[in-house]
Amino acid sequence: MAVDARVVGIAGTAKNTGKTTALNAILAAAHPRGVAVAVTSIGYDGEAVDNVTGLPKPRVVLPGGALATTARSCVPPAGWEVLEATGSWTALGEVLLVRCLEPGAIVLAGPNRRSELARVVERVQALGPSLVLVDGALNRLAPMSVASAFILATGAARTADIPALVREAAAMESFFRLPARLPGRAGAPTVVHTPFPSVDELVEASACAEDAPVEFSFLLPVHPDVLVRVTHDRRLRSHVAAVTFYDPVLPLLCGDAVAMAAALQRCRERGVEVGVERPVTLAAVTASPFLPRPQGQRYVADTVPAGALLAAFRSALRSPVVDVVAEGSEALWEAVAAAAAPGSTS
Amino acid sequence: MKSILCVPLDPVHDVGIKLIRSALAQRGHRTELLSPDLPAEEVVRRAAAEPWDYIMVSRTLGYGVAEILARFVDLLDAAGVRERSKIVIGGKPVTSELAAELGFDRGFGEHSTVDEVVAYVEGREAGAGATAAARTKPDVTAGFTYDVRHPRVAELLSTITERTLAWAQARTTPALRRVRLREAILDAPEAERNRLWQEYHTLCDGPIAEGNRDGSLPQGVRRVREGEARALRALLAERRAVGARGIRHAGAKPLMFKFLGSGCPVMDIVHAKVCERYGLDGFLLINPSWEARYEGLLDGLLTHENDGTITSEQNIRLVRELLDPASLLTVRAHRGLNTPETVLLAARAGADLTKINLVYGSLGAGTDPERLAVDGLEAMRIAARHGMGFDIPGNDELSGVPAWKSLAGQLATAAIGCALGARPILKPLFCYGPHIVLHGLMADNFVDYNLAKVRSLRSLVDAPIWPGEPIAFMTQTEDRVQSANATSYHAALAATAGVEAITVASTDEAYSRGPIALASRIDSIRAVADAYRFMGGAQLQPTAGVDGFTQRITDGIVTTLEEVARHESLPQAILAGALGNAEDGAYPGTFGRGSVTADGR
Repeated sequence: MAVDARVVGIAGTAKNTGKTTALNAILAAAHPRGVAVAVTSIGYDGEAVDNVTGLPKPRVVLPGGALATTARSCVPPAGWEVLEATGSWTALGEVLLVRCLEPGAIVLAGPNRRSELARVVERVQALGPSLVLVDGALNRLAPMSVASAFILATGAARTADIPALVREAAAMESFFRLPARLPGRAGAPTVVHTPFPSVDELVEASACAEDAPVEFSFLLPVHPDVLVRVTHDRRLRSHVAAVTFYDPVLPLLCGDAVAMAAALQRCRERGVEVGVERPVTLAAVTASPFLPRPQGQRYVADTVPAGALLAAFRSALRSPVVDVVAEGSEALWEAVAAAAAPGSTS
Repeated sequence: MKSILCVPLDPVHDVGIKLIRSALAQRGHRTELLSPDLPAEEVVRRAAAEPWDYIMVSRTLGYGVAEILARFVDLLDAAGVRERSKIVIGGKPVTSELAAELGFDRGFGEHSTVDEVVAYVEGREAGAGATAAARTKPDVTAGFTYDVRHPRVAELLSTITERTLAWAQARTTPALRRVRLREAILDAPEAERNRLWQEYHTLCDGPIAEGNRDGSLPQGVRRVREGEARALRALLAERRAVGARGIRHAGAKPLMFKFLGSGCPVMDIVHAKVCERYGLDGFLLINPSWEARYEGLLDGLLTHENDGTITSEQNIRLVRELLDPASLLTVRAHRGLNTPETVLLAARAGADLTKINLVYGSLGAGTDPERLAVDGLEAMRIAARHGMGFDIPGNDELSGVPAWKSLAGQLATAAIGCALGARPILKPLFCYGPHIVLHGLMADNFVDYNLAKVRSLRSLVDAPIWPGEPIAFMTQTEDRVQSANATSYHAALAATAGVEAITVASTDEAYSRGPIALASRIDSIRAVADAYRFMGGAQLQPTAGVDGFTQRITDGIVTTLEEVARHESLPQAILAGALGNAEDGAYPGTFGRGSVTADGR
């Protein structure tokens, strides 16, 4: 199976949901297949101990020859070749592009804003890896817009309420299944440049004339309540023909995926087309039973029943669902390889 | 002028962001403080509405809050705010690593100051931190004339000095011959060194010569492996330099020192770097007791699992090289048979100060008084030649010697040092010593008698005073909190006394039963910093008893020096018990006895 310079983002719904475990699994599967990888992070990952919980964390171990980006202060003293400084800065210093000379652990601290991540990923791609992995941080998603495929890491660390967890994951999955559509096909596109606009602002932005169809193109986050109200508002309800998000990350950012999914469903029921300009493939969902449970002033490691968790996810989602620890890296690799292969679609 | 949006995402703990806002406003920056109860979406709208230079967020952390903050950063990113504004997080547990993980451009935590935040906004930060960059190496002895203010004491010290210098003039020791060879080795071309080393080894005791010649080092001693030294340098290179905290609340003194002497130079450096981070001014490198008993010094980067770090040239160099350039380094030399050579190596390695006390080194530290006198004088000459000051620890008090005898011995050593062109530092012990206990001199408080020592010395001579060694000796217990408190009170007293420096113990120093724990080092530094903050410009008020103690100490010094001046030289006075006798609990040392010979130079 050939994988050709695709960018796969590993995003989580919360801290400790298994992003690093998923990353290591892909790295472990890619290496024996001769797939050259590059890794960057949108935060800080690979540390031995969690910055918040104080619990041990999996290290990020790269095979020899792998490329990585990390802050200058995080480059290990030996075994790494610094290729170039990227000009991108984090709280830990300038981000460097390095090459792993021998297999070893590294702490990743890559560019953390969307535009800089895009620039650095482009630079990394020019060096010829087959696969660029963007390691997420906590529940951060915005920089993941650069990815062409997604792994969504979720699990009990997000909530130990398994039905709620599955509902949320299903809602998130639905954003990745939104159809691709270019704005302007259903009416005059109104590009919304205000984050979290009110209904009044949408009315003003659209300046809609009576009977003229309106199409909202959201480049910035919007609150699901506003979308619901759009379908009720007397000034808009008969004019709104379509809602387009730039990509599936945008509806994810609203903070309440279940509410957003319900709002979009409401739009569709009212005859409003919903889509994304730039689709992204959801390669897989990883479901981790691990959770750090507060105990006094510290945390202890705990789990929810792994089998029940996995079964619940698989019954509700159409995407491949993997418990990486229980099932190993191969299942995840197959999903990634299928999604990241040239020409693959969601 | 910058524009800053201040965002207290925490409804309760928003004091920090208000202080920062106030400081920024005072510097002429445009600031706006949002209400603490706004939802993230509204904050993002406000942040996007204007081209702010900085969005500063204040938030305490708990589990779940990290996700809230990460989403907030995400929203700012998605809203395009990050393209024009830097996003900053502040809160007690915030570290640079956490800030990076959350996606902020910069984080300020518990140890950050308002000034640091302002400097960051104004682009004044220099990576290593403004405080660290501003550190300059202090000079403990600067500005002192060494004038003796008490005519009788001046006369006595002059007599003692002249007699001692005359006595020593025609005498030599193996240490003097070695130090000349060692200087030649240091300056010789590579080809000649081997021959010089061979000659050097003829002047050494067997274990030293064998250790240097064929590598059969004394039991427990081994060379620091190349990988260990490399890992140490890598660790220091990997860790970002962090701006040092300040210990003093106001003023430039007392400087604060700690001992290094874990036995391992690598561990010493790791401890020292952390102490530097907490604002420590300098370190005293302490050698092992066995080293003091041998003629000659081992060569190489050496470690052993025992108290005291071997004072080889390479060990001193490594410590000096890896300390912050502004940190002071003192190397102990007076204890044993290698005093001049140790001072030479310390000077060549870039140490700033050394420790020489002809009296304590004999009475409390086991070296024959005559041997130490001859060696010590040469050591003072070397220190003078290299512009090194030397401190004179008064730890003979711990043997049971009364304070006035210890101080008289310090004054005699200082006077001889001045005559040889060196710059001595007096070190009255801030302690609850045996003589003090037996005579109830601190029955009421620890303030009067310690302060009286300083006042007495100040009345006699214009010289730097550095209580030690460490302060609060014999007042600490195995209770770390108590130890930290005791140290901090004595530090506050030292500040009241206006002394130049103090030496501070770690809170487990007397009870560690092994290497000092790093956390215990920080305990006492933090305790002292807190004491200085508490006292500020205020002063501890002694009772009326201080005047009587001061007078008694001064009278005792005069009486002691009169007794010393009756002898042929200082070492003869020590041997005769003028500066401490068997009744006091002081016995002249025996290391090197009989090794002083006529100088055939």
